[in-house]
Amino acid sequence: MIPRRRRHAAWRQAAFLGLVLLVGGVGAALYNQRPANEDDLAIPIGELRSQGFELALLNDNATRGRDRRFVKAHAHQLAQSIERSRDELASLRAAAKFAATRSAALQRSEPLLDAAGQFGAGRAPLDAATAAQIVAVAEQLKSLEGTLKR
Amino acid sequence: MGKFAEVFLGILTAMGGFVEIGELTFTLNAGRRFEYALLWIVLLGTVGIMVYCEMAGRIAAVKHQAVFSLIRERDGFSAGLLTLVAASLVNVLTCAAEVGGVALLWQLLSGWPYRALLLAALVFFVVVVWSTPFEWIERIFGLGGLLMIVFMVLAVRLEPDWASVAAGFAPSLPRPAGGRDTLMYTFYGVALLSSIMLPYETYFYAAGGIEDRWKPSDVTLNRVVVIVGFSLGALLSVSLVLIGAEFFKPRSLDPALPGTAALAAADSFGNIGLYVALLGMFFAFAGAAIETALSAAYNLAQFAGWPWGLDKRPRDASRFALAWIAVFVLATVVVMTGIDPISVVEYSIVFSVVVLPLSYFPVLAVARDRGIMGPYANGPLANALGWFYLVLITVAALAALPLFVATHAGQG
Repeated sequence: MIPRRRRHAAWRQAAFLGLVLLVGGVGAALYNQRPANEDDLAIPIGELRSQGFELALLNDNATRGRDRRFVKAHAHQLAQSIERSRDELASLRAAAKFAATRSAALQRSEPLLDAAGQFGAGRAPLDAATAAQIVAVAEQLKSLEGTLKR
Repeated sequence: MGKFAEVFLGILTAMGGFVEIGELTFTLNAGRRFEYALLWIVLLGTVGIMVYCEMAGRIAAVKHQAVFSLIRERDGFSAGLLTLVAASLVNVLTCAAEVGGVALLWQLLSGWPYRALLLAALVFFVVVVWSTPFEWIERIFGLGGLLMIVFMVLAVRLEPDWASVAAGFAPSLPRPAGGRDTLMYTFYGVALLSSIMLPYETYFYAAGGIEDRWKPSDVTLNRVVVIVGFSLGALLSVSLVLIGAEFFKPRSLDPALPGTAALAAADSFGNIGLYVALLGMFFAFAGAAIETALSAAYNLAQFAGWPWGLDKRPRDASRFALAWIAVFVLATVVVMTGIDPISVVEYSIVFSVVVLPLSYFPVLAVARDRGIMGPYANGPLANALGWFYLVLITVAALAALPLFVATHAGQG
């Protein structure tokens, strides 16, 4: 039998923990309601930039005879990461002065999804034009990210 | 087995089990963002984990007492319960990240659906821990983790500037100092320290000493294994920082998936490098998943005074067996929700540092007590290092959550 004093202490601790979680949750919800600033936007754009360069590296390795199953599965995982980053970017309530940057990043990152889809369908390596487009997209996203961080 | 072979295997096992998914992610990204500037944190964290694992192992050998029975004895029931809840949460989160990492690796090798592989991983872990003796679990996953040496070879092959690498071991601030760069640098410093000093490593190490029936005569073996094994393990962490700086930074690529790390090995060593890297990561992540699940069960059983140990039949330690199975199930449920395992890693690493002071204080208090440890109590060096690291991790624990929020979990 657990002594009453100890039971009360456990309930007090549980209530305190609940209160901390509640305050934290409300704080996080309020924080997410504010308009996104340049730092918030730079995060998903930076992720898309990295994913673009990674697709280019994967394609380069595919041309050098890397295990096809690995290339296909890794492209599939990358496609999911790209979708997550694009969803995150789309869900941000960007301040008016950043709305154009957000739209540009979303539009420019579309070919990344297509390319990852081609890999995922087993069509690797990419043709030269698509491969060049991926590198160009990644560079453009890098430039957008740089503008936000300046 | 001869003493030499035992020491040798112990060292290799400690080395192979040093890196898990959290450390892999943070070391690669630390190198990618700050080149060699955070190498001194790798050194600092490695000495810290050596100091506390050595003390916990020594207590296990001399007093046959594990970390959580010390925590309850020294901190009392209330503070002990708080530590137990926090440590269990961190263990479940870390285990979830490792189980997710294993499923991602299996997907790279098989192409099968991720969620089906998560269920397969759950079954695999339960069967392995149920049917394999403790010593074999340690050896199989520790020695398998040595395949991660492919990353050490890669780091050398990338021909870093060794003078700059050496300079990275001296404490420094980012240049230019101030503003967002300093915040990010501090966050990565705290996260890297936490990922190297993860509390489950100490819980598992001490419980392992008791499972292996260490005696006071094994105190020297404990010291050699910790110092040499962890030093070699740290070389692997250093190699990952170098790969971040030399391979990923020039390519503007932030490694966020286990396959990205494998791609670096594939780029230099072809398909052989790819397979070795994937297998090495599998053993490292799977070993960490098992260690975290068992640590959570050890902690609960030691705190509650239940019978525990893999040498006991499940019917003789049923609550202990149920606890580690429950941790695997909970961990799998966490990643089944679709949450990215790497995001789970970020949370588990930050919450780990908050648990560290609560876990390590009782270890230091007992290890330095001559009344309990007799001639095996801490000497002046162990005491000085113990207090230094306790203050350091307390400061890191206080800074961890504000830094996590201010840097958007280290993303910018």
